[in-house]
Amino acid sequence: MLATIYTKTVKERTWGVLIGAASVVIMTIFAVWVYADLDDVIAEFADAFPEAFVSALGITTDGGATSIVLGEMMNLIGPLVLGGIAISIGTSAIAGEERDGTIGILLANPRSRTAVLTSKTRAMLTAVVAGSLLIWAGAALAVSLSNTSSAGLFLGPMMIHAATISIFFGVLALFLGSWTGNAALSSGASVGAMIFSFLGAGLLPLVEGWENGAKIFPWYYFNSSQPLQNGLDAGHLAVLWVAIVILFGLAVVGVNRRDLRSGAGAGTILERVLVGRPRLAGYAEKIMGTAQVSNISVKTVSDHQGMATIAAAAIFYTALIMGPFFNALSDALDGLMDALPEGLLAIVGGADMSTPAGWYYGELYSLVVPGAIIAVTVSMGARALAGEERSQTMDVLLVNPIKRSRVVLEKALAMFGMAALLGLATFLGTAAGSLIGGLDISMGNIAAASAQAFGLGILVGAFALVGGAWSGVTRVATYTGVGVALVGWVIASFLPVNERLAEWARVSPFYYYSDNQPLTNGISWANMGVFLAVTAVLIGTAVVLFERRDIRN
Amino acid sequence: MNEAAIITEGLTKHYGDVRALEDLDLEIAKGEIFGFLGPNGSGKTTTMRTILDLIRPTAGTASILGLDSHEDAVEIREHIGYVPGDLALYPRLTGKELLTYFANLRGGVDWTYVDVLADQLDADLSRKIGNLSSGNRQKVGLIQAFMNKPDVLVLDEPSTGLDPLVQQDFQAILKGVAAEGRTVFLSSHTLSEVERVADRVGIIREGRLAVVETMEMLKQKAIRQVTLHFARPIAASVFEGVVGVRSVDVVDDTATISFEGAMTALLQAATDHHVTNLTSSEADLEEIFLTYYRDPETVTEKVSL
Repeated sequence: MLATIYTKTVKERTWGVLIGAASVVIMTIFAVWVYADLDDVIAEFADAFPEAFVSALGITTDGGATSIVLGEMMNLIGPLVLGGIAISIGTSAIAGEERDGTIGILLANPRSRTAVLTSKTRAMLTAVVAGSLLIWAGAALAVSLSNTSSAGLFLGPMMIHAATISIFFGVLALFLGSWTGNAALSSGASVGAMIFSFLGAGLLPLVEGWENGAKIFPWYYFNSSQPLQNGLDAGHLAVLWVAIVILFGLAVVGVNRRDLRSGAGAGTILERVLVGRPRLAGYAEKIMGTAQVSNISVKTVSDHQGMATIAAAAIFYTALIMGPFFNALSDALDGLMDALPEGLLAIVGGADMSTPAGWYYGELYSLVVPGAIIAVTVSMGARALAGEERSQTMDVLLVNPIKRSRVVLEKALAMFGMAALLGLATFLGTAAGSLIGGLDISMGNIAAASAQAFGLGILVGAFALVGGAWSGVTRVATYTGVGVALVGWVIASFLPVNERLAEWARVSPFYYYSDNQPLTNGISWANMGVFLAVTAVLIGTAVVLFERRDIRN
Repeated sequence: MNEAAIITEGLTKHYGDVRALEDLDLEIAKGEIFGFLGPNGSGKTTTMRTILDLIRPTAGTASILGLDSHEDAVEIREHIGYVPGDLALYPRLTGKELLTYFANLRGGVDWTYVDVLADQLDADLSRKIGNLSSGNRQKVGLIQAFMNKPDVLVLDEPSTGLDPLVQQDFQAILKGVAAEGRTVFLSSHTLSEVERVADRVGIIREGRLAVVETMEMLKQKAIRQVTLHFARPIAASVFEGVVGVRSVDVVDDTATISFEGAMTALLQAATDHHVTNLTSSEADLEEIFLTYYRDPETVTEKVSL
């Protein structure tokens, strides 16, 4: 049935799956190797781990260092990568074809919408299963290379859980795309749901009286049963699979009952809903912003206003609630950090979570803030040049009497502005959370940490800009930014653990973001200088690369 | 002073082994409408994008208004308007917002003239471009190219998607532009449009310029059909050997003759036999265009005519 749609989709995704899975495997081998020396240290402290901490990180110490590393990779990085691939396929299934204007020609063939959806879903399942098998094999290889034992670790069941949660978010994207026809909304909301779910399922069990609240998050059914240590949890898997089947069924209904879009020419259901509801449309318009066109920078900021508003609001409110949260959890956290070896602290960015600054750092600044800012700056960096080429608007832009360098610089300026806005949201949210919770974190230090998050964001975004300036392909530009971020994060998280390798962490942008622990110690002007200098060099490189090449058409 | 608006010398563009453009020499005079024809993939868009410095030539040079297409690209762009072949505009902007954006980047746009253009083309500038049909989107693209009254217009299939009425209005605008001494470099697949507006045409095939000819010359070369009615039945042999006659089909007192070039000799041969009526079709330029499109051998032959 529909062998061509299925095989075409699988073929298109082959490289993505191979690169994604290989990245996870390489990171796993690397991390297992770095941690190998620390097995004894960890064993010593193994019993000191309170359950709350284990739950927060989704790891356990039963298997020593290897178990911790595998837990980190397979509980977080693996499903994030596989989930990202699944969301990408789920989004492109219907909404992506509509965005590209190819849905009409596809459905002009004697195939029903349901059949097309089913074929694409099968391709998604194939991609996720293939990726999971590769990561599984890679994890087994990593264990065997490190001469440690995987006894007591259920790698297979772990990957079944990881594949299932990834498929859940892929089908969520499929469902959203099928109902709205909006690819950006479908992928954005699904990625947001995945991250929100990860945070919710990790944090709520820490709050007394709220433990059961975690059960509303799909992530809870993925790893709260600790499948790496305990094997399959059929009940939890069943919950996820029932949800997957329901979402798929709703996707089928959605795609069959609405008018499909043709490229950019037709409105979505959302837009049509807004037409009849001026008040709702007013709110949507406020979030998206009215188009501003006074120059390239302003227009670029305006183009990304919707995404940035949502990211800024998410950062602000998350930072805000972390203050009161700390008070609620302080008993659970008290004394915990003293028991932890330095190596394990590295996973949460070296934070002592029993102090307010450490808590904020561990829960927010280690991953969420840089993740959100980098998501926005990489998106802007990638779309700056390559995005205009992909949408074929670069030709009409460049026949205006402006230099190519001006386009690069104005787009970079817009990215700086947006990163600064997110840095400001980080500062305001943290400052408000600290005041409300009475945590007494220094305002100067909050500003320092927010400034360094800004610096990290523009640097990684500049890598995406260079990728776009060199290739003119958004995918290459995005992979460049995301690749730098992921590899940088792994290097900065794991290398400092091993004394022999610690100095090498300096090659990572994340090192300059977190090494001086700005929330505790204030700003490092040297680190800020590194961010600004490297970003300037990257933007200069982008100008040179963009000046020299043909514009893609 | 250089009277050429656009000059290319040995312009060549290769993509690896693909020779998109090969040694193109072209000169387009100021105030001229130059029709640029050729089959799909023949190099029309590559030529236009190269002279606009969007892509860089493998060899050769191009200049617009005496300025080097690469070195003086920014200055050149103050004097040009461009409609790309596969026009894409920002879907979230309204037509007005899009024009404002480019007007801000360009400076010196006369908004009264924008309103005139919008009126002439019946364009709705208040709607989001993403919600416009392709024809209406094309109108916005045309206005952005014309709005700063550029000295040189580079138009790559500009009438794509326009309805016949708007096409007529558009052609009137083109003629007005040329009448003001401005230059139009027009690529089009609508041969009748080129026939109507162009002063000269160039036909490109497989990256090489096959022919450049004035419209007058092409019309003279074109094969026409004339039907002659006589008072009495007539023999086909009457037209044998007459200059320009390609074929004769006689039925009783009516002769249908295909011929090319001037009519003088044909009329002289006919008037000896008491002509009662004469009807002549328009010169079939399309056929001659298509001949150049199709067959390199024929092209050589035609050029040598």
